[in-house]
Amino acid sequence: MTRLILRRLVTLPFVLAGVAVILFVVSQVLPADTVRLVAGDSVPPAVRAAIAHNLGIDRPIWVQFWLYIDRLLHGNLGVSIRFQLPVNDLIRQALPASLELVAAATVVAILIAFPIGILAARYRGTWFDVVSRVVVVVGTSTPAFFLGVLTILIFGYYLRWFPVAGRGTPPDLSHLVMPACVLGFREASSTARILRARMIDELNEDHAKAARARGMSGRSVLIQSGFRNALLPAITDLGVSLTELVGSLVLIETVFSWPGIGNLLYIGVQWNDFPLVSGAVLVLVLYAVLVNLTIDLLYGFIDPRLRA
Amino acid sequence: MHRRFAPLALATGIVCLIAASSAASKTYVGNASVQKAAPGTLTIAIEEDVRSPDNILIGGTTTDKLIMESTVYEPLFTTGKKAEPEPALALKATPSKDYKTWTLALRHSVHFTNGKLFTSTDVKANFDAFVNPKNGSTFVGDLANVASTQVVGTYGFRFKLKKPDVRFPSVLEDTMEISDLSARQSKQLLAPGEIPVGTGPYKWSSRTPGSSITFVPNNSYWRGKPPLQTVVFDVIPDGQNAVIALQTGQVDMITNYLPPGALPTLQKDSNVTIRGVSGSTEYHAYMNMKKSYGNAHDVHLGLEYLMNTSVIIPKLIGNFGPVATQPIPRWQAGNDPKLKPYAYQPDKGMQLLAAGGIPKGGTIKLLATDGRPFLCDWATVLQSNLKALGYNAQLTCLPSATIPNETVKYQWDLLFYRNSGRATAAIDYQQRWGLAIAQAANDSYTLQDTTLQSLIDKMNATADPKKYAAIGAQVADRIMLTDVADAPGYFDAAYFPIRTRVKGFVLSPVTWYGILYNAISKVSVTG
Repeated sequence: MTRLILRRLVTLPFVLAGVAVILFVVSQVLPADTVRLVAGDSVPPAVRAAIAHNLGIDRPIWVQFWLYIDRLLHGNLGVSIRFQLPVNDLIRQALPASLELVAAATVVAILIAFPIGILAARYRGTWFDVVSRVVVVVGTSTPAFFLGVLTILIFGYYLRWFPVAGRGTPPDLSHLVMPACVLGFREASSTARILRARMIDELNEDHAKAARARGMSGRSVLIQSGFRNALLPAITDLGVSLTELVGSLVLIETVFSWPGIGNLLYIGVQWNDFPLVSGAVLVLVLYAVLVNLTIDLLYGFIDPRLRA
Repeated sequence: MHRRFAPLALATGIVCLIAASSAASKTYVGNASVQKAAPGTLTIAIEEDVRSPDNILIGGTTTDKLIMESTVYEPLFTTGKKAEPEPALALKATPSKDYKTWTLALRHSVHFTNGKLFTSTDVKANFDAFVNPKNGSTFVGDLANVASTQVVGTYGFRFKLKKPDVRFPSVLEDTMEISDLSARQSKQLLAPGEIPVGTGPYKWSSRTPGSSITFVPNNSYWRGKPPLQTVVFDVIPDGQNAVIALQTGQVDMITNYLPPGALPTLQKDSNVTIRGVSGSTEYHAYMNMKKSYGNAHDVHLGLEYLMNTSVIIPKLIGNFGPVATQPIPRWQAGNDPKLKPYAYQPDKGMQLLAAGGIPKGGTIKLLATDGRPFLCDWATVLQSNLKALGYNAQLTCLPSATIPNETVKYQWDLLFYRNSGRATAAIDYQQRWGLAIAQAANDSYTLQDTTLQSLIDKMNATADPKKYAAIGAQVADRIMLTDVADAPGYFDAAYFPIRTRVKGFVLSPVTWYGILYNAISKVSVTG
């Protein structure tokens, strides 16, 4: 396990460096006039040149690249073109909001996926199973932004239970409920499906039949033979969902005006704000790597045989 | 076994906590409830965060002006009900006989929010910073006619102009706000994260970038203590979400980005009043003055005869705004009331296009920005009409961020675009069609028409309102009939939906962003 952690930590800088290079190349290829975005249409060439100089985008590409890498090596993500604030500060301010949202979404996902998966396997073929499968298919196939808009319409506009935009002033959790539920619901769907399928498989295995023959109660067989053995693939899927969540995070934070990393990334892309985009993407890549590492560690916790 | 379920138990606990917290909150309870406002707090939905809180840099955007000019900063002059300059930090402006020198008398006993006294040296420092090209201020173009500036005592300030300008104070209306540059680290631009300091009714308190900005009152404000305890600008980019936030009471007001389709719904809402002003922002199609044709004038004229604007636009935009016939709106002096739109004459239009070098079956390229209401829809309808007439009409709709790159390639024949209005027709004409801009920027609307520029100069040098209007009409005719440089579409009307609990909000009837610099200093909010 220690080797695994070390291996992950050693490869992390290479992953981040690769992403940084790709980001820089993409930013140079994208057709956008950053100076116009900053200054508008009617500015004289001298002002355009000054703005380009202030932004550092008038230098040769290789110089820009070198300065970018140099900054990164010093832990400096640069100054955002859009906000004219250090990207480090922007990310420091946005990160708690995103982590709060992801954590809440994960909790929601676990609370949805595990009961649905277990009960759908236990009551296979019943109305509950059918309904839960429909819910799972809807969750998996519906785009996050559409679920977001639908939620705003129903729970924000018609029922008026929750505010529709922003984060409020923490710990005002009423703002968190809708975006967390939408994200969590999407995250839960595939995990519930996998948990159900694996539990059904496990419950049909010989060890489950033997347990029943030995007189173990149905609940014990369900949990010990079914759930325990199905937990590993379910956790794996949850981990994958947590990584994939990054895409949904951008959409959901934008739809709900949630002041997190995803929202910053969206604004950065709109503005061709390379320092902001690269900073946000690097943080999200770091998040994905750490999630994968956590899942690997969790394997050892769930199945002691994997600790070796 | 139980240890393995510890995370699940913990998760359940957290969710229960969230649920309990939400349920305990009195803000959102029961059906169709409305969030109760904290009395004295005004929450305004805005489309985007400020691009820069720096007064040297904020010129280019409606949102920056609206946020910063309603709170921290103040201009020398604001806009009166008939677009005339009204005193703000400057009390009056006195011209020399030749209108080439303007001397301003500044207001006494005004303090910046850091306690420093406002004087003419502050005005000098700010205008020096505006015109310093190294700062990248967008005001450089606006101040192109300023030859020099000079401090005249503690409360006097002088502008010397290159050419006479009878309405020079209009250039300063609701723009070029004054900050305490001496308090800045660089003495010019705000350093990243540095707090802006002005003389306005509210002070910068906090900001969550991309999400919200909060202001608190400047209790030593020269007009007296502002009525609000807190002003919050909430960034809600989606107009429809902003409408829901308004209807549910999460925000008190939406600035001018209401989705056109939401207007009828809000008009029926008894908790909301709609305040509106005629807009001066022109939505139009530029003719390409740089592209080579067999005969450019014939091509431009031919396209005008094929636009059919008076039929297409009203059906397309509904009550969004009036149809345009020229670059500035009817209510602004300098518009030509006699100017009629080009009638739809397809035969004549096609004949002219053929004579100009685009025969039937030829390619006509339309370029539009999809970031503004109806421009792509309008271009789509026109494309359809042109195809029906047998042309190979190609339409490209691009986001605001990427359209400039396509624009400067000059491969298009019609560019569907939006131009914000200005306080006076002369300023509008100068900044959109004048030579100063044309020479300065490699832009689509460069006419390079010296006759037009001389007419604009005459406008600036004319004190008589009637003569001014008459010359303005000539400028409009020149752009529309002689140069055939513009295919006008429509003007927008600015709408500000406000909850009824907000009292005393004042809208500017003419300025393009629709909100007066001190509007929020007069607003109160009941619970």
